[in-house]
Amino acid sequence: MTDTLVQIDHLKTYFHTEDGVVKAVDDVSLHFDAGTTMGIVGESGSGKSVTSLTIMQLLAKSAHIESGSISFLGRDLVKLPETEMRKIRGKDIGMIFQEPMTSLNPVFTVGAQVTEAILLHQKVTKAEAKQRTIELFDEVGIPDPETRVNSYPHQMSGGQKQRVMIAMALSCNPKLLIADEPTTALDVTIQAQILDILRKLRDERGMAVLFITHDLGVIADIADHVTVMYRGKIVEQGDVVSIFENPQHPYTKGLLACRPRLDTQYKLLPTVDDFMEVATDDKGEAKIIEKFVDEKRLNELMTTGRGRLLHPKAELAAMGHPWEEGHHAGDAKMVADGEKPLLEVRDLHVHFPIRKGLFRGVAGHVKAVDGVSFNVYRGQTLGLVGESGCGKTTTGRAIIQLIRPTSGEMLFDGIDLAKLNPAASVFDSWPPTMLDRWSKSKQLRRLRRRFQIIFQDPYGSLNPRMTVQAAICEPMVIQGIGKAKERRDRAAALLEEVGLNASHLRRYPHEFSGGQRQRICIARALTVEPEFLICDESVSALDVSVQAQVLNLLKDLQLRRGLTYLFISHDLSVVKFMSDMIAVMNQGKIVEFGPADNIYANPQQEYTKRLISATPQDDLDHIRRRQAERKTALAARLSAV
Amino acid sequence: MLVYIIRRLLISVLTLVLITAFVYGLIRSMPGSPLTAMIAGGGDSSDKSISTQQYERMKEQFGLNKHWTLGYLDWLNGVRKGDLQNALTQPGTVAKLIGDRMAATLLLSVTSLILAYLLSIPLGLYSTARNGTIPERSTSLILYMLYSFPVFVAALYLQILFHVNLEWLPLYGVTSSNYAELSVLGKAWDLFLHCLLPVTCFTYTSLAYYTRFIKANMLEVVQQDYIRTAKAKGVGPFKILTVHAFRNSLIPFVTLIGLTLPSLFSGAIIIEKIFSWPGMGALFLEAISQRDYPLEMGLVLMFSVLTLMGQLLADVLYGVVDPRITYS
Repeated sequence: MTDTLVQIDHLKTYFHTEDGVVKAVDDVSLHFDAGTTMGIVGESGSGKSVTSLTIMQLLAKSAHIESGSISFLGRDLVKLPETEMRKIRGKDIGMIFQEPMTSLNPVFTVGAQVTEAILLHQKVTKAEAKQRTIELFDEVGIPDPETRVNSYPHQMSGGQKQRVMIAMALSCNPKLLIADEPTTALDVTIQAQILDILRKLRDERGMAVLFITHDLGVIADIADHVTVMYRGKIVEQGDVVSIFENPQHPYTKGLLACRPRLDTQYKLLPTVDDFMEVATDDKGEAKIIEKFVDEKRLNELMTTGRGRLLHPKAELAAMGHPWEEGHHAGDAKMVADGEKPLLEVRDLHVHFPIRKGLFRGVAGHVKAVDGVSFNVYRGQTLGLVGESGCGKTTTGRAIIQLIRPTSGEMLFDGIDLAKLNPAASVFDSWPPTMLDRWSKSKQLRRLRRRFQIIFQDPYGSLNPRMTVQAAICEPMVIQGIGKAKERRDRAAALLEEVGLNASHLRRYPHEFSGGQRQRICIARALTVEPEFLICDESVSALDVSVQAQVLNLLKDLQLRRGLTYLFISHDLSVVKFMSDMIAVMNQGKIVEFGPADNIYANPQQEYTKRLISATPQDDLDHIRRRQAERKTALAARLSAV
Repeated sequence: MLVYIIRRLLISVLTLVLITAFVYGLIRSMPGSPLTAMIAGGGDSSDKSISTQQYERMKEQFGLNKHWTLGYLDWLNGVRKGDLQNALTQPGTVAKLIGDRMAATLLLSVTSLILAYLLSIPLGLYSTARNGTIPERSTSLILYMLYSFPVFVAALYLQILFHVNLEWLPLYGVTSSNYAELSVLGKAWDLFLHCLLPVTCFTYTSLAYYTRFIKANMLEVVQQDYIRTAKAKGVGPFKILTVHAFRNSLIPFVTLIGLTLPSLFSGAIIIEKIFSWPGMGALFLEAISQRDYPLEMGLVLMFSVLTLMGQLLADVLYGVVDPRITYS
């Protein structure tokens, strides 16, 4: 068990682009043994995925391996001809990818895709290969494997597709499994299941795993050794306990600190910038300078900002979380009794019709949102948490009338928004008049300057053909705010406020990173001076280190501008960090509602408990427990052999 | 699926009525009528000067004295009974006239379509695999030059080369004058020789178009994540291209097939003129210039039906090539 399986020496993979050479992997050396799990962690652009693709020799055409070697089973993969490499891919090295949604070919059945891998590398008949596929499906926990092999990818959920990918990768008993962010696109509960399967199969088969992720929480759950990468270079390596117990490099320290934990006491998150800064020396080489986080800064992070702002006393009592002195964090406050909520949602239903038959009659409904009620008070943050498909996004969009609600009231400062939706108002005044509908849609548009939304995907929600200035100024144009010059000045000021600068105005979205784009989206939402912001998974697509910065920005803006947030996310730890009150949604209904700290400390519903236990933990006890479990499993396997 | 097709057919019937009514109205409101076309159409002026009574009688006979809406209803009623009426300016029923021209048109268009697919699919796959290399760029340059080369010039040069200079191929027409006396094999050979030049002209322009279409779609598909997955399990480049990628690029291809269906029957006026090919294109031109209302309407009906069927066929084929699409 101590033979080195993979030995990478001084690997350099560069991309030759029109803008010059990008050193994606810059002098990387690492090795790991058969049967162990190496975790590579880093943010996007750190070179972790390129490293794995270099091992597989699946690089894009613009990439070139400048030097170095990758020794695997006594052969140097860098020098291996393509025809030889093809025999290793899928046979000795299996690989799973980040996006299970797009990683399977949509026009073939999932069974056929796994069978193909078996037939490529093993001398078996088609029937045997199919039988083997069914066994593999069973092994990775796909229920009813005999039928499921005939399913097409679109008929399976994301978690099941990732199981198919694992079955495919393991079909030829590889000695090495490369897992490139295999759980990033999945819900936390599904992530926990997939990690369970990977741990189990790894221990049963004694294979080595190269696990790549940006999330240290996941690393803590699965890796034996950790490699931390930053800008193409390895900054720290070590076994998992020592990395978490005693991180040496400032970047590692920063990464560890910036994750919002379920038990965090911070009001603002520390960021990587608190631990280091990057300076360029005379030769143009980037150099990392360590900074030390002193008591003062820690204190600042703990105390900057306001305490939780809870619902009025009567409502807290009604939801079973009565206010008790000293029970809540020191500076938590209640909204005064009798204050009107800024947003009042009453019995919101959003049903999508399922149409069938010759005349497209309505055969049933998908009840995306099924009777949701809640209040949000001025200056509060309400967190809406749940897994994909629970209806949280639909709720957010229905409130601001981007989707037509089926029924229910959405009172924004006393005005029912649903009544203003021109699509919904046909039967409200009979006979409908164009003038009436026009005036209503105009009213709604006027109101829109008071509430705005920030979406999940900062790549998709900015028009690639519009400059930053055009994008930020557009809401002001629609609302008729200011003259061109004033709008430009305001856009510049807002960019400064979100941490960018005025020189960015003339650029296009593709010139920015994901985090910067999300800042632009925030600036765009702020142009019309809204009181209420819906953040719909606004940090889910970002790296952990960037996520911390954006979360801090949102908190900072709330304090300065007195904003009210509806914060929608699947990530309980992020929601808990941001929110005063939390609503847990499942299958279109709110299953639990209460103050953020109470929901975490004392969950009442089974579903909430499940969400909490699935959230990755990275405390040392947990890591040590995992390592102990692993030793037992290995010992059991050895004694069985 | 069956319910879906029935629903689509019902909608198609409605669409057809709307299209034909609109076109009928347009045709009738154009200046001139079949009568004026006949009167103006050649011959000695003495024969053509007809009396007012004669004119009124013919007007009544052709149904031109009625309002166009009533005329349309008459026509529609005929269609319901399967009668497309007689052509006004040519002997024979509209159905027979169209039927006679159809065979010659299809011989040309279907042959050339099959030929274009057979050549463009391998060319498209080759261009994808070798994208950016010198052989690929040269191929695509040649295809582009062909694409932009006017068909009437090419046709004339081909005629000069193969008929006048080499004397290998006939100049025009579908068959030779002694066609009736030839044996079965001889007839086939005669047809083949007559087809060669028009089919070549018909095919070469679409070749570049199809190749480019396939290549563009394939280049899109080969960048997808599932192609990377296929590579990661060790599938070779040939199989990746022909199995994993091509099946997926068939989906946009189906749209193209649906859109080409009507054009198969429409004929190509320039080629038909040059090679004296008795096709649909020529018939269309005659019908319009002579204001032959029933003939025009018959042709419009045929193309509307073909267009709608092409769309339906494409939608049904989507369900076949793309398992994500189901009609239930």
